[in-house]
Amino acid sequence: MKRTWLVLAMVLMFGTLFTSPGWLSGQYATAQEAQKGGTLRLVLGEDPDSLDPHGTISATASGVQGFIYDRLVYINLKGLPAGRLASSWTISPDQKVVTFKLRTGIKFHDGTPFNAKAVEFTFKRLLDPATASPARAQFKEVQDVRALDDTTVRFTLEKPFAPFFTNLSTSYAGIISPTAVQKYGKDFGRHPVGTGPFKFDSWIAGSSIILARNADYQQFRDDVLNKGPVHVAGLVFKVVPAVGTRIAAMEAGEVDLIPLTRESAARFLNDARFQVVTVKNAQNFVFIEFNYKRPPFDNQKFRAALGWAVDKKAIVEGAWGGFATMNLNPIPVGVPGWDDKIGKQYGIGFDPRKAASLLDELGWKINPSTRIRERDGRPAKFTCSTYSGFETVKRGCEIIQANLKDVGMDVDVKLTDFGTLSAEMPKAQFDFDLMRWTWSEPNILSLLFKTPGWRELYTDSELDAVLDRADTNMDAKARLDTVKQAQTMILQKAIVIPILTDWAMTAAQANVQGIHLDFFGTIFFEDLWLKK
Amino acid sequence: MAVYVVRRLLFLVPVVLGVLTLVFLMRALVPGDPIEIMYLGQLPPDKATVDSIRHELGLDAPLPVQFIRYLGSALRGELGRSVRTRRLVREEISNRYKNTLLLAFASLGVAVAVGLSMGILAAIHRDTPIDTATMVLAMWGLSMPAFWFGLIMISVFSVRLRWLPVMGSDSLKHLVLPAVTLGLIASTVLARITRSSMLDVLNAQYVRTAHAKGLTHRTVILRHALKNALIPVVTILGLQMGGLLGGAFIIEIVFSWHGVGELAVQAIQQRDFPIIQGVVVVVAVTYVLINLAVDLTYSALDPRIVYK
Amino acid sequence: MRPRPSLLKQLLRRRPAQIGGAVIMLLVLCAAFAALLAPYDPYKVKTADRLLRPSSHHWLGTDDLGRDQFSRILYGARTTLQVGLISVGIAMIIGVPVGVLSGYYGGWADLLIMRWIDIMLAFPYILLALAIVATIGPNLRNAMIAIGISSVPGWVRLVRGNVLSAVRNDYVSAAQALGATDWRVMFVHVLPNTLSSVVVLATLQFPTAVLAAAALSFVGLGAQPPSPEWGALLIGARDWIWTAPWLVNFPGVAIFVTILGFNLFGNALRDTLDPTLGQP
Repeated sequence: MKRTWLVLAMVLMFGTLFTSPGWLSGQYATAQEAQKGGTLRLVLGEDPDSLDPHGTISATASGVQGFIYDRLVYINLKGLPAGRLASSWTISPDQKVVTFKLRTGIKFHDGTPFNAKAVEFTFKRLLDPATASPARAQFKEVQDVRALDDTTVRFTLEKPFAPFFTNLSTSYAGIISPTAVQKYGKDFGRHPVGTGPFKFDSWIAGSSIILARNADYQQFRDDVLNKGPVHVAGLVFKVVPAVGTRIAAMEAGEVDLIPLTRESAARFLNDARFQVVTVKNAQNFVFIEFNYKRPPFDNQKFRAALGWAVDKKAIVEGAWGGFATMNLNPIPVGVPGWDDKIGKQYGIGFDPRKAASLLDELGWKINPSTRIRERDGRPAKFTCSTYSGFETVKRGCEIIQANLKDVGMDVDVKLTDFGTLSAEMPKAQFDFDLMRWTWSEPNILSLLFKTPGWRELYTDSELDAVLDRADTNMDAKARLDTVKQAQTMILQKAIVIPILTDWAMTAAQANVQGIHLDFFGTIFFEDLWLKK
Repeated sequence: MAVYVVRRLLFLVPVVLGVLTLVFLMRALVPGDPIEIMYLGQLPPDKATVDSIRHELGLDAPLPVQFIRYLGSALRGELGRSVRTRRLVREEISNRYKNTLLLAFASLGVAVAVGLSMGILAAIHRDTPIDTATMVLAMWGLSMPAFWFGLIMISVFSVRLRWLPVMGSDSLKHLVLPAVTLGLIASTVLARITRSSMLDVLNAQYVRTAHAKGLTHRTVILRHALKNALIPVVTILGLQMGGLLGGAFIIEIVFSWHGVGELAVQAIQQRDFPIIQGVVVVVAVTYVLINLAVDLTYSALDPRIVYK
Repeated sequence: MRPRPSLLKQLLRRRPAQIGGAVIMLLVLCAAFAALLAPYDPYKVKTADRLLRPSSHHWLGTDDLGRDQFSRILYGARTTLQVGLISVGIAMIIGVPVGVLSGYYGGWADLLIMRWIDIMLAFPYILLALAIVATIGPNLRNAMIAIGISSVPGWVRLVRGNVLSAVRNDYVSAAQALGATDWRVMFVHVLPNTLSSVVVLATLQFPTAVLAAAALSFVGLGAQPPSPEWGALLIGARDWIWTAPWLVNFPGVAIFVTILGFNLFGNALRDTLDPTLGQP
């Protein structure tokens, strides 16, 4: 998906999971005393639409919001929720009531105190239909939020909801200053006020955003070394949509950190002037999905046959330049519940002979004169759609096109701009497409596949039942077993053909010090400092 | 004269109506819903939320109603709100419009300086190697894909030499590279026009007379020939300004110079129609005004041209 | 009205016309014989050979899917030629008749058409093309239609201007006096007079169309993969400029040389057909 693409493209430094040993958070130690001051210069792929956490769910905006608003909880290095603005919580026996105890002595950037009322205000506003927050869907299980006293907040859920804590840790759930919301009203998104490590300074529409250090900040995360205010004086985000321009800006020393693409990675990897952070356990995955309402794609055997014909390794190498991990599971490599064994056992790998024999079985025979398969006089002529503007998926489609030609299918590649694609897909005006999604919670499976599917084309009550069990199980380990069961089912039904998870790579100037990553592979900006 | 200006200004009304009709036509035909695009690939918001956003922005009304409403508010100088940011279109556009105008005028400055001198040089040294060289250079610029030229400029002046910043629209220093890139491309047409126009004028009777009166070559060229040769040049300038205003988006994107071109392309991709309307109206009005200025310049250059 | 042989000779005596003509011939030859000339299959994906520098095996290197760039550029000549010819053709087919009618009849129709053209001219050209492609769907055919339609206003203006001066000629009034129908006057007497500028504009619009196709590719609305259309090659490779510059530079040079050729030829043609404009 484009938006999720933007996760890679714009959320730049907010990387994703890690693997290379040097960046392992636990092993990080301050070799040198951090120096204070200096401004970190970062890039954004587009001008954020709003910095009101209830006004947007764009990845770019959320990335910036993460610095301004702290959340009640965070996900620690073990992947478990831990307290941030909340010091502790209790869960009722029926798993439907969560009561948070809040920390005290914290102030919003506007000087007003953080307390239970502010938390109640934040979530009431998020859930209020009048706010029309696009993030509301993530908290739709929340029935009620109430401040019991100054430091206690009670959340009542409609039913047990496993992704609740992860969702609470996202920037959509950042705690906002009620006073500022009253003061700025609709314009709060241009004057954001939270309790986070950086406070909003200024915003030139379409051009740049400046955040300044919050001098009163106290850090409660265990995985961050710096417990006080951040080392740098501030952050400058510059809007730079063109990849080539970012590379040039990095070369010319105009920015400190940029996200890397397959085209640029090689340039920075072996250059002492730069450091490269590679996160292989990223939370995206690329897959082929089908128009399940249009024959022959309603047939799971046909979908599998198509899948077996696709050379995933070639796509990793050719389309992603090798900066990706082949992934046969229908879930991103970096999401809990991903298990290599499932992909090995049930995954649809590359076996053109198997593809050919499956197609023969289904009655799609090669017409010797055209060398294209036919069934009942209908040639195997299909269209592979994807969104325009991204070379990786375009190249991926070209490889799929070449692969399918080898088994006797004639495929047109159709690059459509995002708007047209979004209009065509619900109307079922396509054959199959190459997609990319990013999500860090195992409930990505529900988002994609639960009836009616994210594009409203797929119905499957058997799978729905399993996904429901996964979403309502508050026991993390037992839940992951259900998640694995769902993956197996998705592969057996060949609902999608998973291909790969691409790596999140970030280049930093050599003088950027203190880089280490959280559970999701995000760089801790609280620990960054600039060597003079 | 005043009547003429007023009549030309009145022409703005059909132009604005015309371009707005085009945009609304586009809106009826182009597939894609701005709100869906905004949230595609994200956890989709529930339908009630989407509907309430749509209602807030007035997008749930039938298109003709939206059109009338839009015209009503446009008359009051209000261009609506962006679907994406829900901010006033005026606020979204103003800063970028300033950038675009700045870039357009700066490029025009470069184009005029380079193009005129090349053209004059070629005309004076007609049929010499200088003439050939300038015209070959002019061809060169005309044939260069703008974006490729821009990247080459960046790689030479920003990355290798480090004289100028790669990107941004913060200061005049940032203006230099995009303005020179665009200006050089535009200058090549000007050089050709200037040359041929100069040649026509140099052959004219009054220039020969001036020579005969014993005026120096320099005076003749600058005082008599150039002034008259400028008329077709000014026409071309007016036309080029149109291209620079709306068509420079590739250069804007390559140099991260945040202007209305970049904004419009983004808005088309996101189907943010209020923004597209805003950009198109602003560009069209500017274009008409500049062409009015061009026509008025004619009469300044040549007193025989009188507008009634 | 075909150019008299002496005109052709005059034209070919000009150095720019020689160079431009040679480039155009070369382009046509490449387009016609791409299949014979290309050393490799331009669509064959071979990831083992990806991103090879130019060498004796691959004269212009290989792209990120291991396809031979020389072969792709040869095949691309055909598409690129198509883009230029068809877009210009579309603009001409609409623009010339409208211009003739508007100029010949004058009056209200002319006024309306010209006001409409003024409005179209005030609408940014590339935004119009973008909008049209977004409406009718992105592929090369639609891109050509969009580019063609977007450049109609320029054509109408030019042809109308020519017609206006042509109808003042004595032979037109003579034909009218002799009872020739309007259609006959328009197409037999007036139209041929505009032909020279039409030919010139066509040569000069060709480069614009090729560059516009590249601009559409920039926002993903140009040629569809695996088409080796040059604009798509150039724009598609833009992020490789620092790591595999040959992917950007060779299509860039190909476009540059072609456009240069058309511009040289077009200008020489104009100078030959219309000697009143300054000599080159």
